[in-house]
Amino acid sequence: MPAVLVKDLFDSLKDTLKLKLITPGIPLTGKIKSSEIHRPGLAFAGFYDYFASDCVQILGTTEVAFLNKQPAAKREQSLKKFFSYKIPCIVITKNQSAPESLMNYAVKSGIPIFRSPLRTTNLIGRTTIFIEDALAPRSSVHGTLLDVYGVGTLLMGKSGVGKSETALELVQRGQRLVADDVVEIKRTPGDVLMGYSSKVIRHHMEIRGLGIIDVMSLFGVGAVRNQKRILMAVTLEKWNAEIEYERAGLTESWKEFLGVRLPHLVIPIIPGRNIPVLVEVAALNQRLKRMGIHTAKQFNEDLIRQMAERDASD
Amino acid sequence: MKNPLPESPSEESVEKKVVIKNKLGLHARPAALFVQTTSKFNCEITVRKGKQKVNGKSIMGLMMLAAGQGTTLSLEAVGPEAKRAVQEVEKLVNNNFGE
Repeated sequence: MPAVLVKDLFDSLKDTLKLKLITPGIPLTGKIKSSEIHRPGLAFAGFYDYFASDCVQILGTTEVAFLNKQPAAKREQSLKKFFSYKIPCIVITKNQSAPESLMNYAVKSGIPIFRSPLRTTNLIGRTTIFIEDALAPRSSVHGTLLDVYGVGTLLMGKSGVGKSETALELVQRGQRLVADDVVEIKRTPGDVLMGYSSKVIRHHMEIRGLGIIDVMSLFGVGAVRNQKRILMAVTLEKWNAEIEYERAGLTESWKEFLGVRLPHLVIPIIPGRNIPVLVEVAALNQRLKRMGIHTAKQFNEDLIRQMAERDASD
Repeated sequence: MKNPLPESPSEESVEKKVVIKNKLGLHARPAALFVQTTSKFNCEITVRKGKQKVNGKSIMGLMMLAAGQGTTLSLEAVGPEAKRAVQEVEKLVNNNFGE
């Protein structure tokens, strides 16, 4: 099961959330297994039926005030139960001071407490986004990702079929390169597939005969992007006389990545076909479809209607 | 007249682990030699380092692995010439890419 280490959360968010570890020496080895954030108000009141113990526990004004107001014996009892669970970490918002007994129990159980000056809702929002991103399912594919007129287009195909050359021409024509050769993909909430490049090879390409080139240095910062939502997959392959390629554009084909379906086109390559132009038109056509205009379908409907009208007037 | 035997597409599938031993690891020059070797053979070859998996005919992919000295790589090849491709890569790696 995927999990985020408390240390990673702290390292990544300590600046934006102005987090301060107020239990020094407590190791940040806990694992966060869910992007949900838990406010343990009901747990402090003794209700543990749905206690999400593997989440980050956030103490806002309500929780801290409740703990402070509880009679000492009662508070001991609820904290004892609370800290018997394996909690990854606790965050106290609005720079409130932690109740002494809470600190004692946290140190005893080895659970880190952070403090942040942020308001609870704000902190919950940012923390959720970070954890969701860190827990997002990931994979990598062999291909080239470009932003073509705003449509994240994943070029695929066998080694040597000309993906990088097509990408280079597209960059020359003003499109943007995201990743070449190895495209990292993550699925973010809302079934969105984000594509990006590994840091080591980011904005670089290998072109046979030229070697490794740096696209950002050669073409400028406008020629690259760090990440882009993938909306379409295009497979380039050598023309195969045995295969029937799509002619009308009425049948839609799909390709699945991390459980998300993407429209998929196969573009056969033969001399005389300008592949970069075809990819650009495919991307524009995809944009039209997303705007509700399906050319092939509408064309066919018009054709059928015209034939029916003609038959009626005959 | 003798009927020629029907060609049987022999699909080989090979798996092999290699350890990178040269001092600088799989940098640009060894990666180039690696893909020059794999590209000669009719097969699909993937190279795995831990959870990362890349195409063995792609130089950028191999360099992305940043496989330093001592790294174990798993080679997985499928296709008519899979066996020979893996053998040649193994030879190359064990020769420290001539470095």
